Amino acid sequence: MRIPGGESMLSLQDDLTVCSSGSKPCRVYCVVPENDTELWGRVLSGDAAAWRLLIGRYQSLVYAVCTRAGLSAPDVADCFQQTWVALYENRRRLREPSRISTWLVTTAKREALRLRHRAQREDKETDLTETPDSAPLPDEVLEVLERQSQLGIALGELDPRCRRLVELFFFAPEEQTYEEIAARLGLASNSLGALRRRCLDRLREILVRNGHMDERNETVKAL
Amino acid sequence: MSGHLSRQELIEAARAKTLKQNRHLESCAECQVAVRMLGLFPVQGLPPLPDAPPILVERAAGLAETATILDNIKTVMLRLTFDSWGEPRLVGVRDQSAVSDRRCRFEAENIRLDVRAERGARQWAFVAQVTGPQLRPSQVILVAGRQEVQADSSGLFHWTSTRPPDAVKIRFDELIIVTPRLSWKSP
Repeated sequence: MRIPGGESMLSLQDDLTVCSSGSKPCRVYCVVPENDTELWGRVLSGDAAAWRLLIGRYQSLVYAVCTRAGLSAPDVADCFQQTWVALYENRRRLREPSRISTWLVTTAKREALRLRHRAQREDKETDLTETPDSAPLPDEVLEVLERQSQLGIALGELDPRCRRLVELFFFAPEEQTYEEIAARLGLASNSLGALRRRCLDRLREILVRNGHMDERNETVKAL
Repeated sequence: MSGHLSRQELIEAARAKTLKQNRHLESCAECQVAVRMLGLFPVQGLPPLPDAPPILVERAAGLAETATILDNIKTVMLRLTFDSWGEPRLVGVRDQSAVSDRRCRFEAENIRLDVRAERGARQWAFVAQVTGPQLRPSQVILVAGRQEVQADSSGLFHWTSTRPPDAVKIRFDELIIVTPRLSWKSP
């Protein structure tokens, strides 16, 4: 069931509801958050709550790009704000809302490099003819940041048990054994492989629904 | 022991981009799913992206909240910049086409609307084109009197009417573009 509040109701995800599907009871989620295209439609209609949700979804991505550029704290704040200002001012020109994260990364990078160049110009010791240095924001780094953001959004939409499993398995700084993960989740270690597969299948479904993964050939959408 | 591959083994399999390097992997659907995901999202072991400070998020969120109604429902009034009926004609030249055919151009804020009208025996035929940096013809609706017209594949609007419209209106998202009132008294 979709509800207009979208992610503002994400906290409800922690509460699983048991309902009936045919003769078999099943566990379902009350809320399916809107994907970017749906959310963007509401932004265009002047819905300030949708705009706030969109910022909540991608604030960490934009912030990461701005901070990676090696800017001063005031310039990071400027980079962050100007990126959102640019999106808001160009909201009627955005042609592919499903690629909004790419648009934000590109804009934040451009803004960060502009601010870096300005800071370099203001530095008397810097050669005035020097061109802006894009080294701190190579495309590979930006791509990883965007993938992290997409995966983070999808993880936030998983049920708590699956989210915990994926985090323990893939994101723990030190690798943990199946037995350790199973013990932390209160499961038998021989059931972990099947559960991991179900959780990754769900994660894949969310990524596809969010437009961040291609369902048919199982590739990520080009950035 | 579960018998499944460790995280490091899965990562190495994902990097190698093949499932045929390990006997377990060849037959284990569960590990295959993990390898595919790791191949598509090579972000394992990375900490989550840090949140921006709340004050920055609030400032950005305020962009939409402080927007006025005019930002969202904007009306642009076009001005008539060319009217073939307003052009002087050569003295003594009798040319009926100059009267049965009218071309107008309206402009405002980088938006341009060209309208051509032809008076037939029973009705008027119109062709219009609207251009502007943010306008996409496929999403624009032209309103002439009670008729709502959508652009064809070339971005042109065609319609006919027994009487010409007093004004033409263009709708695009919340943007409304209006021409001034037109007089259709023959010159």
